[in-house]
Amino acid sequence: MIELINLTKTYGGRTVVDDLTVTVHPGRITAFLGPNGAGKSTTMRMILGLAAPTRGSATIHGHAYRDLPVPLRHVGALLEARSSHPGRTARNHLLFLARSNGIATSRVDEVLDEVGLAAVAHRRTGGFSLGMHQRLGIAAALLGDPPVLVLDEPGNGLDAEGIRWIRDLLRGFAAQGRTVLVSSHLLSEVQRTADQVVVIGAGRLLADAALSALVGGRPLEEVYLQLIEQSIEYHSGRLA
Amino acid sequence: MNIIISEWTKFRTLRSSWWTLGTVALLPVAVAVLVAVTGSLASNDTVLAGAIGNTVVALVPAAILGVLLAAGEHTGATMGPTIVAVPRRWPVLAAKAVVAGGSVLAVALAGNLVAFVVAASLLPDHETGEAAPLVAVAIVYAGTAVLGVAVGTALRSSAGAVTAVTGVLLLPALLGPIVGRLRWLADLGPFGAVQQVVLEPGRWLTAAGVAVACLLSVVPAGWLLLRRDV
Repeated sequence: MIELINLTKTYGGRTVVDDLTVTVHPGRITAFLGPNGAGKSTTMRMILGLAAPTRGSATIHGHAYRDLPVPLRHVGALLEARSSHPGRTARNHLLFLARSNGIATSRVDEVLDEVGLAAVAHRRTGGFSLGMHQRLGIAAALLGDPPVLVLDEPGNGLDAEGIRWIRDLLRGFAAQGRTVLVSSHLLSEVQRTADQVVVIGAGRLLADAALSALVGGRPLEEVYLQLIEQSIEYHSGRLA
Repeated sequence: MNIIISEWTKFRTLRSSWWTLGTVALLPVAVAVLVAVTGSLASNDTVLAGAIGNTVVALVPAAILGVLLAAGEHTGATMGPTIVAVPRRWPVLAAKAVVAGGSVLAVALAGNLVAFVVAASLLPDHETGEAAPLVAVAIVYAGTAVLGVAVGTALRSSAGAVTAVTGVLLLPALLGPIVGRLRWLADLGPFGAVQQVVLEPGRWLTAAGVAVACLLSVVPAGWLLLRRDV
């Protein structure tokens, strides 16, 4: 379970995340939607202790991320796709992460196999395609076999087979009672996969509802665009 | 301990680490041989002072090694995953200091010892001097590598940090001679510390002081690391 309480982040005078209160429950896939620059990545960075909230809190099973003693065993995260050193091999990238949390080397080979990178494990990541980087990032998230997953646009750069694979992976995770928070811009994919939908715009919460209740039989894209449009009108109306 | 092993894994799995470490090892030998074969040693100089005193140039790659270990995480985009894995952050900096300082200590000790032995055998007419100050020299090298880690952590850019740390190393030696009464300033940096301890082996305390000052540079770097968003 991930709990955001009045979570706020300002940079200079600009409010990027504005008073978000959301609970992400286990046992379902929660899609995290919003336009570019809405504050999704910043929210995820605050959940993972990379950015400090200006106000409010983000906790995982009641603990701040920083206080988790062996964090990779609690939370698996994918933030930016290209987050390995180009001169290091895929396996060595996962190896140093595993070592930092006391995870066995055998687990590194297991996850490489699981994400389909076993054949290129000893290749340096500088030559990897976006899809391969994405798979490596997902492998890193799976290392500690965590009960919580936080993934920022995991579908980016994946081919059709890859998209299907990640869909099955996330469904499997949720079915095992784990917590899955995943941001995405691929709304038709979200409509096929998600159980719960959280929408933010300009850092503010626009919707937090079960997918079926939110769309009511309509395409998610239509509902989503309507939500975003209303929020823009509301804000500009308020300014005027 | 896990985090030290993790940082060592990062270090040993990049080629640049080995190139830099190799330079720290070989440069002192090359410089000592150069001093010996060019006959540039004054007749009353000891081998220690003449040959080892000039190996200070290898302090630059020692500092760069530290910089690469720290700022390389930003250049290589691994800072996010690293801090997600170790959210308390400061153990990462401490482990980097141990890995950079430890590897440079071992390699600088070996490199300067070989340089000393080779120079002594090439210069049979000169008094050799004691070998003990070589330990103090290696400690200054290790301190310099840790200084590189601190500067790399603070500046978060390999290019910027290499420039800054090279400046910190070279400026006292370059400016010292031209500032007259303030000449003693030149002795404050790692360059000056190495030269003092080989000229006057009794001054190992100065060298130790400079090394400790370098170690302490991780404190402000750690403060920045804890305070800033990644």
